[in-house]
Amino acid sequence: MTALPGAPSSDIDNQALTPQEVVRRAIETYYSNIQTGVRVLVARAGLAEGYASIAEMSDEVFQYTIETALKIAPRFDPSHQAQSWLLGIAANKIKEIRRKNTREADHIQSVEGEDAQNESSGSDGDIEDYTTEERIDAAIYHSAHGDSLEDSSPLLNELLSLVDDNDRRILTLAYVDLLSGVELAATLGIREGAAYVRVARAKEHLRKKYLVAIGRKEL
Amino acid sequence: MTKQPNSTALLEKSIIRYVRAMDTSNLDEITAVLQIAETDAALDRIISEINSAYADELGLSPVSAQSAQVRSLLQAHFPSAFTETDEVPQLTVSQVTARLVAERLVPPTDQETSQKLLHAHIPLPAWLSLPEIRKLSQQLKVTVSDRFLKVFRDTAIQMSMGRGQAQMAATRRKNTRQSSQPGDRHNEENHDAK
Repeated sequence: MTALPGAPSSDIDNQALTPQEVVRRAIETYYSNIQTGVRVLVARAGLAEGYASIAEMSDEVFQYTIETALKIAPRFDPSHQAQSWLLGIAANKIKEIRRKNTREADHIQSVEGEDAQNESSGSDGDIEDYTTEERIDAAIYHSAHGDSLEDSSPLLNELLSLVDDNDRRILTLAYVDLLSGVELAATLGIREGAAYVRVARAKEHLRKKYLVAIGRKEL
Repeated sequence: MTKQPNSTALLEKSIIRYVRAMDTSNLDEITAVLQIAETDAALDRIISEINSAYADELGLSPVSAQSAQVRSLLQAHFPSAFTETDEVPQLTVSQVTARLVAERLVPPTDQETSQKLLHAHIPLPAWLSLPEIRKLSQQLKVTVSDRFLKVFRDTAIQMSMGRGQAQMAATRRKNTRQSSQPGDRHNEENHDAK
């Protein structure tokens, strides 16, 4: 039995379904998740401000997403995750609207600059970012052998001393105590998604502090 | 964790990439991670969770929008119900122990000691690691089980995170009130200029 991607197998059985049917069912199943995702993307892209404006713009993007998804459904690979596929359509539409808005605001030059910046961050910048990230990962993972910080090497403590108390707590729980997203969420009394966001932000803060630190001395 | 499976490392990297892209509004990166998620069920599910977290954070989920409305009505009509303080008092051993007792998280062997700790109004260390908590218990001259130390540490972290958020909210409220003072001509002039 092949279940609809991401959905509990007991809920939906998409065996022998056409791609169109899989997409249609995915829209029904993930309706609320996709709507939330579109709202968040619209807000983060800066297309609208305030609950009402964001909701209005999101409804427009959401409607486009559904219409487009149903139109191109025959090209959808049923073994793929429909939810991310649908959000990808929405993200592309949001990019298009943002580009159009920026052009209308007569800021073409600044957009080109931004695009060039993005492109460059996709080359040299990313290499530097990922190298730094891998160095941090290696430092954290190599250091975090024991159950407590007492067992870890001075390098880990030195790395963690770069960030503030909140980030240090999060990173300790994630990389020293090796808590999963669900466990971290339970420990902090927050939702799973919020736990992932906090870990990612704490790691990003560490990466930036680390870059500053290695500018001054080698850790 | 260096020996973790590649898929786990890639999953973690994709999550961090997605959050970073969301925080910097980089739609190209968001689209790239969504493409990876199309073939990764775990990432697909986690992205959905992350989006919900952002919706809460941005006040876009129906519940957060409603609670913000209720909070704003309460602040407008019952301002005395909201404290003016920016400083949230430091968390103490007794407060964390009280939470453990209330939630019946104290292991049976530590019941007696926990009663003593209920009277220990000593601030917790800034870094709530197990060694620090163990050191604190030695300073207090109490013997407790490792299980107690761990559950104490977890609860202390949970409570301190909640306090951090409360403090930020209080500061935000204060700043909002200050910027919307009727006598604040500077703001009004700026607004008019737009």
